[in-house]
Amino acid sequence: MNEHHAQEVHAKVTFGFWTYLMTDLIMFATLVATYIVLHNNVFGGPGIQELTNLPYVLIQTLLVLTGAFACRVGLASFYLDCRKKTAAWLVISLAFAVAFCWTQYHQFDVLLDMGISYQNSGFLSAFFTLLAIFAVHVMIAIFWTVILLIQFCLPRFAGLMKTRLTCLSLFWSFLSIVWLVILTVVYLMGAL
Amino acid sequence: MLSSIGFGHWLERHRDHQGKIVTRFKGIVLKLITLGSVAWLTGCQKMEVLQPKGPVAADEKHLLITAVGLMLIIVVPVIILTLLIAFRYRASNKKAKYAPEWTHSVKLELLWWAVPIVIVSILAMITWKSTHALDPYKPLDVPQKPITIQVVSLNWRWLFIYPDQHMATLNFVEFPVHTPVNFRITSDAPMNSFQIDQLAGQIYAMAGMQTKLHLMADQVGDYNGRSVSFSGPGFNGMEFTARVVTADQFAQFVQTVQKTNNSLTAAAYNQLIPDSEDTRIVYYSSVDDHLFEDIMMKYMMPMSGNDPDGAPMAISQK
Amino acid sequence: MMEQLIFGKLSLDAIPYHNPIIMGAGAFMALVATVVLGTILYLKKVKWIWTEWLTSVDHKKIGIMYLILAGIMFLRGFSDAVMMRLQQAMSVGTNMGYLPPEHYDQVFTAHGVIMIFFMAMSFVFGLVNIIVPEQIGARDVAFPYLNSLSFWLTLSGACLVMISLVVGDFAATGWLAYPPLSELKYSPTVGVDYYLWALTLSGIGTLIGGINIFVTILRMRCPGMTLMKMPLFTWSVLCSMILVIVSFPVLNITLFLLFLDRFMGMHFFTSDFGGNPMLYISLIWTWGHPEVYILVLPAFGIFSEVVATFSKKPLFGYTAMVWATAAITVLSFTVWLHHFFTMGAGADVNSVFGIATMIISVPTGVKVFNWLATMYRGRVTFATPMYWMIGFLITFTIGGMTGVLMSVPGVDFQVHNSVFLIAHFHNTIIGGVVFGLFAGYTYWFPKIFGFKLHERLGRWAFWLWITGFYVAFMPLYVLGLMGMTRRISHYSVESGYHPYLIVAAIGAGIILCGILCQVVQLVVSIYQRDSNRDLTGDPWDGRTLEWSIASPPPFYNFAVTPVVQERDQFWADKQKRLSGAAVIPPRYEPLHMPKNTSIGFLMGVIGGVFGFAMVWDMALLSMVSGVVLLGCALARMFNAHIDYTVSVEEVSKTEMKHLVGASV
Repeated sequence: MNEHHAQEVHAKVTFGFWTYLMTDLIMFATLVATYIVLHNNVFGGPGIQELTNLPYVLIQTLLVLTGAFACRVGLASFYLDCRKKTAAWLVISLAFAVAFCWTQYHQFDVLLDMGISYQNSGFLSAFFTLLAIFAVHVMIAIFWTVILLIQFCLPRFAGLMKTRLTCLSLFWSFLSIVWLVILTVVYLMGAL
Repeated sequence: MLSSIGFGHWLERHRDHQGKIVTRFKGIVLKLITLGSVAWLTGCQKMEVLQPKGPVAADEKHLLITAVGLMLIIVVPVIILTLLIAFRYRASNKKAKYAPEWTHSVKLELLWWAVPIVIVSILAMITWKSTHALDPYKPLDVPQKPITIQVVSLNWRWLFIYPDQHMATLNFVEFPVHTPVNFRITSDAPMNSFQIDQLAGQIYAMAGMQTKLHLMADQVGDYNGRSVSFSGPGFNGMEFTARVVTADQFAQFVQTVQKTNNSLTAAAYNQLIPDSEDTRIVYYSSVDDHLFEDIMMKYMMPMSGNDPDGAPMAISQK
Repeated sequence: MMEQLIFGKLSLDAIPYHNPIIMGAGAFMALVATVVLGTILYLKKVKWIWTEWLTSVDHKKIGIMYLILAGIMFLRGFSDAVMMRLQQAMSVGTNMGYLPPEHYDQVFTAHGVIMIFFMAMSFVFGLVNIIVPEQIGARDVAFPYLNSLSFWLTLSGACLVMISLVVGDFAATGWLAYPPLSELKYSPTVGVDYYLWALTLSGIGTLIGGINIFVTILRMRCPGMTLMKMPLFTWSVLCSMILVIVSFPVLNITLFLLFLDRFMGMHFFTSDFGGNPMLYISLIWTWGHPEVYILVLPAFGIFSEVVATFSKKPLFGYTAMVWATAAITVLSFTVWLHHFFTMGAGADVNSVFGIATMIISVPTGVKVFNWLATMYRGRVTFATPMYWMIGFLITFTIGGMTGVLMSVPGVDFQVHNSVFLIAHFHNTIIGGVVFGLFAGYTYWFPKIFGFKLHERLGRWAFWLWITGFYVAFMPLYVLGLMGMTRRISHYSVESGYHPYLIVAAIGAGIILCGILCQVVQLVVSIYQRDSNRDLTGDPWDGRTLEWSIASPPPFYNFAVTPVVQERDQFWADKQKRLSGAAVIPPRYEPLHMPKNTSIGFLMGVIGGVFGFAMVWDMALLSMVSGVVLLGCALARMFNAHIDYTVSVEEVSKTEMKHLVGASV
């Protein structure tokens, strides 16, 4: 009976978390729509063509998608009761997330050094904000993964790990989807 | 009205509502409603929306009346039915039938889905046609030659530029009767909305953008114009008079304005930008060409002296 | 330098000492706060407040706190209304009234913000929180801790608005803060920043609350209660929460982008540098239109319950009502442009959105006919909730009519932003939402508190409200047609507005009497509660599950989770019992209930501190409170023991107490 209750709670929490992800998706949809409306408002400054570096963006894409994949494999390992592998894959996804955040920081750093700032035009405000909010979400994944790795080692969280890892994995899937949209709308459509 | 009086009588008779105070209170309420309705209707003479003086406003008024009429077909029966049903099926009325198992009727559902759908469909067709006919951007389909007037909303005044007459007026506009007017509108202030309600509906005035309004006046006279979209503490006074005159009187007006020795240069215009509630009428005998375009452009392209957090932007001196 | 880090822009100059109205209001707030705190301390109830209310995750208690917040904010928002009516009734010709425009502009902005976000939303969430779990046979909502967090975030948003009255100023832009007026250039003071942070905090709270109730309804219904057996109030709430989930993210991010414009010099919505103010208007109304349906759908749900209960007849056309509600939900996303027909979108776009708006009136009309058919051949008792119902049916219909009228762009071009618009939306919000919430309040009060409200005072309140409403707002329709714009605080004698505005002010006075009646009703009812006790749990001979438990219910609601076979199961059970069916004694089992936690309260309070610090650029306080917020979240994440078990003995003891009818 306890297991039935635990299963009910797991279903309820994952459904609730998925619903939250839908709201986050709508938030990103609004940001993307804002970007689309403003992407030509360069006010005499650089447009997206000047800012797009496709090889760099490819690296970023691989980092996000691999990070998501690693987390999913970690979850699969958890279901197979391979605790060491679970932790290992989580660490790998953590590394890719950190690497992505660094690439995003580096891109902003370079642009700001060149005097290309979010204060210069509507386009740049939208560009910086969309990418920055995405990067903040990846940072949330980083903190969350660290917390779960700690909780993984504490016996009192044993019953909660399945749900929490499932939610983290859902979060990574969500990040992949959002990144693919950003890649397409901002960079691919911008470069063409 | 009658049903509400009937309802009132029922209440007075109903056993639960003893107390002369309550009865008298209801009487006062009903008297207020009657008085109110009469006073309400006597406001008719000042209802500018219902007293159009131009073809656009006249069409809008007809549209309003038609739409109200169509909807009253549903609204009046609903209100009457509500009061009748509430009255008849009150628990103390033992004569009324009680049918607690009657919870569903396909026929009734069809009826009250269908009738509103029909009325909405009629209204929808009227909407499509009228929206296209009354599109503010659509020039009026009349043989007379139009006059173009450019409008700039400021904090908190209205500037009118007559590009063909090379002159401008502040807080006042005048144009000839039976002549289509092509307004071209922008803003050098927060969003405002330009309306002369006896002549036409409104259109927003937005910085960096040009909106259009086409109207015509059928009668000479002075009409009230104002901003209809809140733009700050000076919004109360953002009114102007739109004077419609004969063609001769308009020609005279143009001459009068052009004789005042007052030039609306870029520098003079920049003096108008800071906040002011001075609604005195000013005439400008000459205007810099492209002033209107410059006002829009300064929001769209970087210019010298742009200070995003500082004072309102000045037009660059030429 | 240190002073800048600590105090930011805040200084003693921020308090408007020279303004007697504000100082008076501030003194009044301080007095009320002192009296309340003093009473708590005097009665030595601090620990009780902490354990029973501040740290509670019980949906019923959270709901009561939402209702109290709604009541307080109602009084504040209504004071703003009275101030506006007085100013407009006075300031004609040479008389400038008593409120200068800078102040008046904040009053109408605060009135709108408070009434929508902190009165109506709190009132709705209060009733929803208390009643929905009880209607579906659940013991709490899906995420009780998040429920508590939602409430405290909303409260801290409300507190920011209240504080802005005496420290700094509030936005003077209208309740939706359109740019460019709300950008730094035209609103350089902290007013808009208060607005943004108050709505960000409460917006996050509401979004979390929407997810919570959504999951609750979909996952926690008792066995046998399929979707088509749910009470219609729950259906309406489900649809309303779907609207919350889809629309609030848009509000939150749009306000955040305006914040970025102001705080980091960005250019999303500025007129220059490539910003686009029209984008803000489009986004904010993408949220704004669903918002009014978020408010009115639960009100419709309340009326469905009330009409069925007081007509002693099941709701007519249940299936059609569900489909109509679903249709309204979907359609409410397709109409938002009708709020800015006059922005020049072109005839094709305007027509499409106008027609879409008219289409919504069809399912709404269907609901009205089904309610009437419920009363038809029923046996209608006119308790106070039914008065509100009749008042609603008439008033909301008129409001809907003027709405469809304005959905014709050609008409809207004339009356947009005039007081005709004001009259329309007050017609639907007061006639629909407020009347519905009052009906729900009087209907469910005995369930929530264990005793009925004074009936006669309730009817007086109704008559004063409905009379006051018509006297206050019918003149506004006329004024709109006379060309009077909204948001003005002074006008000329020649305009002819004055007599109508005097009548409108009288109407506001009559409504004030109605509100006083309601306050007196509450006080008298509490005083007389022993003679009005609801001892059976079912004072109205109700139909739905919430009436099957005691009033007020035990903390776990249902000792035994009910099993449902048909709609209005409780009514069916009562008929069976009346016809002599045997009552099976219940078999109790241990229950899982969530533990209290202080994290929701702490995060709410610190969130408020963070918002205040951000408003005044107090860098140190922002950073510290931000870190503490994260710390609280971490503390919650590292708390593995968040629920506990209620033993069978405790359950049977509590049930015995309620059955005997002893006061709790």
